[in-house]
Amino acid sequence: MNNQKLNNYLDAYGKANSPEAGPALLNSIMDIPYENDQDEKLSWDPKSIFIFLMPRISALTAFCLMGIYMGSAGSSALAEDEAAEIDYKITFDPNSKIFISDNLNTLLDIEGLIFVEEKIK
Amino acid sequence: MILSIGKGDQTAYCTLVKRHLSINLGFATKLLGNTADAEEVMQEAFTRVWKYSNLWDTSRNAKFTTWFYRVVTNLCHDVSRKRKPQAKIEVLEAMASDEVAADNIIAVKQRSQQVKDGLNEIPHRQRTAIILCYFQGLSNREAAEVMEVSLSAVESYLVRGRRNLAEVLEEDKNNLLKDIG
Repeated sequence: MNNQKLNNYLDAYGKANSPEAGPALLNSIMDIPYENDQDEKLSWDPKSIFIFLMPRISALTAFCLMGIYMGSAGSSALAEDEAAEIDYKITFDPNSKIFISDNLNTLLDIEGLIFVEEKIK
Repeated sequence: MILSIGKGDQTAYCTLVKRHLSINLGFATKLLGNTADAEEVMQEAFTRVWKYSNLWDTSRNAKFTTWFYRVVTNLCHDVSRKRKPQAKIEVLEAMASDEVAADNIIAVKQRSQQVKDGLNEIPHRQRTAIILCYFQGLSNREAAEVMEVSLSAVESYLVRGRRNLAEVLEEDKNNLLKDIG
C-alpha cells in the first residue's frame, strides 16, 4: 500500500472520529470548578510550616503517650496471667492448722489466692 | 490563562475549555477509537487542569497545549491498557448494496473500521505519533515534546508506524478480496 492510499484510509478514519463535544459533556466539564477544590499550594515560609506541622506533631505525641500508657496496662495484665499460674501450684494441706474460709468459692479473687498461698508458706 | 485558573478564575477556565475541548476530544477519540471513553478521558483531564493549575510552574516555560496533550495521551494509554480487546465489527454484509452513495458511505466506514483495527494492532507509541502528527497537525518536534522522547525517536515511530499500519491494512484488504472472490 502506497502513501497516498494510506493517507486516504487515514482521512476516512479522521472523518469518522472527529466528534463535536455534546452539551452534556460540555456542561459536566464546566461544572468541574463547582464540584472540585483546587489543590492547596504548599508554601515554605516558617509560619505555614509551623501551622502545617504543629497539629501533626501534637497528634503524634498524644499517640506516643497513649501507647506508653497502654503498654503499662499490658504489663499488669501479664501479672494477672502469672497469678493465674500460681493457682495451679496452690496445695491445701488438710493437716495444717491454717484456717481457710469455710466457703472456698470466695477464694476466686486472685488476690485472695495469693494471700492464702502466703499463709500456707 | 493557566495562572488565572490557578487563582480560581472560572471565566478563564471556561475560555480554556472552549479552546481545547474539541481538539483534544478528537485526539482522544482517534487514539481510543471510542467516543464514550474519550469523553471520560476529557472529563478527567479537565478535572486535573482545575485541581493542579495552581501548581503550574512558570519557570519551566512549558506550553499548556503540550502539557495537556501529554495528560490526555497518558490517560488514553491508561484506558486502553485497562480495556478488554474489542471484537472486530464486520460490515462486509452491507457491501452488497446497489446504491452508489450508500456504497461510498459504507466504503468510508469500512476504511475507518480497518484503520481503527490497524491502529489497535500497532504499538501505542507508533499510534500516538501518527495521530499527533497526521491528525492533530503537530510538528515532529512538538510531538516529541508531548511524548517526552527525542525528535529522532518520533521520526522512527512515524516511519515504523505507517509501515506497520500499511501492512496491516494490506493484509486486511487481501483477506477481504479472498472472502469476496
